[in-house]
Amino acid sequence: MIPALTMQPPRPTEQPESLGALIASAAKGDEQAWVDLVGLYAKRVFAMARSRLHDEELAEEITQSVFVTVATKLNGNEGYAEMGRFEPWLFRITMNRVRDMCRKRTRHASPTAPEHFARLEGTDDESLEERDSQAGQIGRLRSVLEQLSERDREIIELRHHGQLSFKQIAELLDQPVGTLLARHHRALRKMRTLIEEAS
Amino acid sequence: MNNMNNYEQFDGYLPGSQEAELNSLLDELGRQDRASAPAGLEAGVLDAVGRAMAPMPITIRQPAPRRFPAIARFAVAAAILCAASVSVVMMRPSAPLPAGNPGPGNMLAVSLEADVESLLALDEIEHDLEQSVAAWSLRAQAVDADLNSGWVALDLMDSSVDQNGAL
Repeated sequence: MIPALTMQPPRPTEQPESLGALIASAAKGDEQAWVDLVGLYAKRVFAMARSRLHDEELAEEITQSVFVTVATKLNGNEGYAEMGRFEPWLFRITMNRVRDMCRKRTRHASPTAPEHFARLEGTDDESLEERDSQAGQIGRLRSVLEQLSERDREIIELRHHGQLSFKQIAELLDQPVGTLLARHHRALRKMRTLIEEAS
Repeated sequence: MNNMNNYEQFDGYLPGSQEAELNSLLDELGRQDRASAPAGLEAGVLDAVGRAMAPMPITIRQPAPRRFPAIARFAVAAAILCAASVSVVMMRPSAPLPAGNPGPGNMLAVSLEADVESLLALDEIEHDLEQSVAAWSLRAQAVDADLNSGWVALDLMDSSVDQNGAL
């Protein structure tokens, strides 16, 4: 049971027919279709990677790699088998790339500089006013996000960085939507508790 | 708000008021991360996609020079070695047969040797015969020649005697 949720009217389908046409054109190598597709999704993919890796260059590299995979699949003999589920497919590729990169980094891990976390938490030279500002709150939020489990963090990032709907995230993670909503809610509560403890 | 839209989009649920502010902050965090994308992100992605979708250059593969595999070379070497060994064995003078009771293999070898010697002896006899015939033939020719020359001389002498005598 998901507490404290209120009913709202459903929104129209998240994947318009035009997206299907756009993907079909992109598969044929249409340049404008690719410009549109990259314009729609590149920043969302980048944000997912950046949030996890804290490295813009690496995030850019991953974004390119994800789109190259998409292009290869769309253009290749195996084709695009995820009709009507482009976004979950795209973000599953992204998530896998980010996970791989995290594993690589863990293998070659070096101690994180203390100032990194200080910057995230906004505890260095920032004034109290700054800490109370939205920037400070965002900084604390980043720090709290680091403390979530990987599964909870993925849901949060797919939702807020990737801008996916719960239905899409449920498809992507192969979970019932109800379970996913409950997990999201639990992750938010945990974050709130962590913020309260920190302050 | 995007987050609210996403809730609405699925089944109309919205987070409770306690989490609503956090939700908004997370939306803002996501927005900031998207906005932090470098200016050339999309161009870089399009460039990478263009390279991935470009047709592969046609390459004409040259056939690799055919070389004997190692096993074939070993086989050839072994064959040459065997041939050389056989020829050396065959060219060696045969050892004298052991005395005493010869075995069945030796018996066969002895009989073959005896046959070969007989054939060689026959050949020698035939050769001697031919030589004798040739010698006798030469001798007969010489005697014939002597006789002929003698008669000629006698004839001449006889005629001269007659002439002288007549004179």
